[in-house]
Amino acid sequence: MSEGVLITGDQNPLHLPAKKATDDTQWRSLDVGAEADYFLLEVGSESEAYRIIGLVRQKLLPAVYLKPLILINRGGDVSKSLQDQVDFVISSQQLEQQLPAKLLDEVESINRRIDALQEQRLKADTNIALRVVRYLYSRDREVEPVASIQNRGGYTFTGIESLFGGHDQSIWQTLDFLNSQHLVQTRFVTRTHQCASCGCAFLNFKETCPQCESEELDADDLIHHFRCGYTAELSDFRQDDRLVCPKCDQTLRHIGVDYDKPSMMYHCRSCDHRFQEPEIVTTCFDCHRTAPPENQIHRNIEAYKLSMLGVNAALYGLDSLFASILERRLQLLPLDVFERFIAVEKARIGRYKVSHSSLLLLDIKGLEEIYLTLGERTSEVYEELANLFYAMLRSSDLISSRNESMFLMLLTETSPDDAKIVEGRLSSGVGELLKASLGASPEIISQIVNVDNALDLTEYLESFLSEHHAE
Amino acid sequence: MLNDTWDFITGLSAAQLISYFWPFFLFDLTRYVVFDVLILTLYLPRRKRNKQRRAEARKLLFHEKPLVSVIVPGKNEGKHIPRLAESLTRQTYKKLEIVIVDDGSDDDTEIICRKLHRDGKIDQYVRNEVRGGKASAANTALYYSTGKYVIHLDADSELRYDSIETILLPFYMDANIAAVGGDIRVANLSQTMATRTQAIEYFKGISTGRTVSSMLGILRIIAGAYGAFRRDTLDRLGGWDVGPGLDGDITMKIRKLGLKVVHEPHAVCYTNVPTSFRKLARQRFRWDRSMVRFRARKHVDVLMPTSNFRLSNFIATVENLFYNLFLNFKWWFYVAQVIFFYGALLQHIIVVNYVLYTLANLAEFLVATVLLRKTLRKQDLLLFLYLPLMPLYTGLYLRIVRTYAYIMEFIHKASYADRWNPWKVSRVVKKDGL
Ligand SMILES: [Zn+2]
Ligand SMILES: [Zn+2]
Ligand SMILES: [Zn+2]
Repeated sequence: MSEGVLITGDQNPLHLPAKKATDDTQWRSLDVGAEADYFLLEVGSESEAYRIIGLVRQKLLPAVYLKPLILINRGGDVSKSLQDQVDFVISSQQLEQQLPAKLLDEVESINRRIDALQEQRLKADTNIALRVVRYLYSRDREVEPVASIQNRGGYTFTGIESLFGGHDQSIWQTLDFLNSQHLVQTRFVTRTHQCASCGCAFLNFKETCPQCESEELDADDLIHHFRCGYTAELSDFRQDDRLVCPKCDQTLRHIGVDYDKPSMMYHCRSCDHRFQEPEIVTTCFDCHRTAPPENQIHRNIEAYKLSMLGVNAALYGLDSLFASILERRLQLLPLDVFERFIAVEKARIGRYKVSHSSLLLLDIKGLEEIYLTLGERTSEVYEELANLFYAMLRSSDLISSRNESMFLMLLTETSPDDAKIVEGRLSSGVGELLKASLGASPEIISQIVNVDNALDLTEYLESFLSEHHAE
Repeated sequence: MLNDTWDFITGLSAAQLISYFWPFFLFDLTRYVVFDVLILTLYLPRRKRNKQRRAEARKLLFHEKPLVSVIVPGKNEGKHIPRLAESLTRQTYKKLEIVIVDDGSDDDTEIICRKLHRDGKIDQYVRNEVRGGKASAANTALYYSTGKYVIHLDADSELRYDSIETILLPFYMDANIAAVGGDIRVANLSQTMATRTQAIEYFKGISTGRTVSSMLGILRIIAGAYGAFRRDTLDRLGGWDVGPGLDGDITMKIRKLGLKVVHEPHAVCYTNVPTSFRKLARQRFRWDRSMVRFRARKHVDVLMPTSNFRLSNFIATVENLFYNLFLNFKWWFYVAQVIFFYGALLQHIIVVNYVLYTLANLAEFLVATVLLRKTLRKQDLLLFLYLPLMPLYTGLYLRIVRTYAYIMEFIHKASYADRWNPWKVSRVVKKDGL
């Protein structure tokens, strides 16, 4: 029933009937294996495995890069990091028989989520943030930080590492971005110090002399002999392998019974200063810069999992971001609810025949591309746009959206002439804002329709779309 | 009634006078007379003759300019330290090293002192996380100080501007002097009746009493609040021993080394004293107990004719035991005697005793004024108005506290469990019978 594609490395493939093999040359094709249920990986070495996992995870089509990966273990241990990067590890024996039902269930559930992307699954997906969101969505699990000396940040996210092709800085940046957009939820795991100038987590913490900054320090315990009150450093008490009080010649026996260690003293070998609180400094193993710990970056290390907003972004793209911000700020109504309000308004106006209401349509072309230009600043611009809408609309006005860039507003008790004023302000405001942010004005189409019995919202939108979005 | 008393006095024969008022005539009067006469006839003329030598000593001191460590051990004294450090910068003698030892404070002493240390206002700050008691704290300070002379100072005391210079001079006048006691005066004397009576007591006891003891070579105690020591001597002794009376203890140990201990009445240190008679009672209870312990128990050897027997040590101890222990119990004997045998004359005897002791106090106060003249302030002199209170203070109040303390110490060895030492220390000391 389920069909896998076997990927082999430089080694000779196992001859598994009913399974297509593929090699490097075939990988150049965009949609290799897009219709398979999973990829089977059979390689001779771990490094070869990483290379091939990278190849898969960096393909452009969601249907390919999200594909479940099954590693065939031909004996020996599989490193934890490699296990994290594939979905399953099975032995060659298991492969000879039938794949375990549990595994197939999980493969199926991953594939079900990939299928939920519908036609998007076969559209090239270049945005790394979106690729991470989609990966987290398809796996439906948290991605956890893993301590690693291979990674300058001290931690890596082995689960998603292969999506990035070895640029570990961009993992952090992408996760930070997703977090800033509320696309992921975080769970605190631990905390690190990182170099403020290069981000490296490998810092040498050192005690230094507060007077001359020398690192050459001795530390000694202070000893207090109870019976005679004599108090001096431990070295003064040391005689062969015993501790003997220099004042009363008694041998010290049990700490806490006849003596104790009330404190500790540092001694600087270079300037002879004695002190109890050494200055702590940190030196970066990478860029060699030294700074006090409080001047380095203190970073929370967190595990990430997709938020509801993130699930939405996985299914419909990051462009729906604006809608989500508007939703928060303006209480953007779902289109069907909006339609019902229009119907109520139509009936009200028809009955009393004393007032006018207007429907304002605003279509901002290319809003879905704004993320590509603005990157992490996108949400700021979205917030500003939302503020603009908020400022123009009254509390009695209602807003909805047809897609990421087309907005519908019901301006109650507003004649088409008054609506024109709102329309002018809104489209020029949006135009200026986007021009200031993007450097070029996007095309903005706006229309005003009088709300009366003649208005059929569905019909109106269909005709607008066929006119302006001929595809 | 006063007429009756006058008749009673004029009718007294010499024998009656002695039998009715023997404590005054046989003990206190002789002591007052001896002290006052000695001050006036021996000490003051000698000090005048030594004027030249003092000037020479001063020259030597400022020529040598030895480093002097001011050590301040204590718990929760942080609030006093900034003012203390500041006041030490105004001393005429400047080559000082300030070493603060924090004996397990649980207030913000550490924050205050760490900052002073960083800012260079104090030279060393040692914090002992675990409290070790006064001796351990003083020994820690000694260990981390480097001066040729070590001045032990209480955190809440204040020195007269020339005090350190003055307390160092005896070291340069006599090479056998190993420790010099400073003159403790009451800083908060105008605060309450309790502080005023203590101020007068300090003039008599510390200023006059120790000056005379010092001159006679029988000085028993150098106050922990303000005393200067030669470092080599302290090192030989391994510093202070454990105990509530460690000031008197170290003085005795120095004397046993054959070195001299003197009092310098012009090296003034102002200290705050208990402000109520209740708090004062608690303080004296502790002091008096330690007197018994260190004189009568630990240093009982000075009374034995051993190889390092010294007459002055013997006298110092006997004098102390005699005046404090014997005279104290003699007083109760006298009270009993008066009540049982002279009950009818009770009021006359009280009035006469009161007058006699007031006059004696006045005489002592005058002598102290002459002795301390240039270091006295106006409020010190005004204290004479309160002299009539002194017979009640010394005759009744102090005697009751002292008697109670002695009884407790003899019966219970109570001072081992005193609150100035942590239990871990008291326990070991008690077990070892120190
Ligand atoms: Zn010892
Ligand atoms: Zn140093
Ligand atoms: Zn660095």
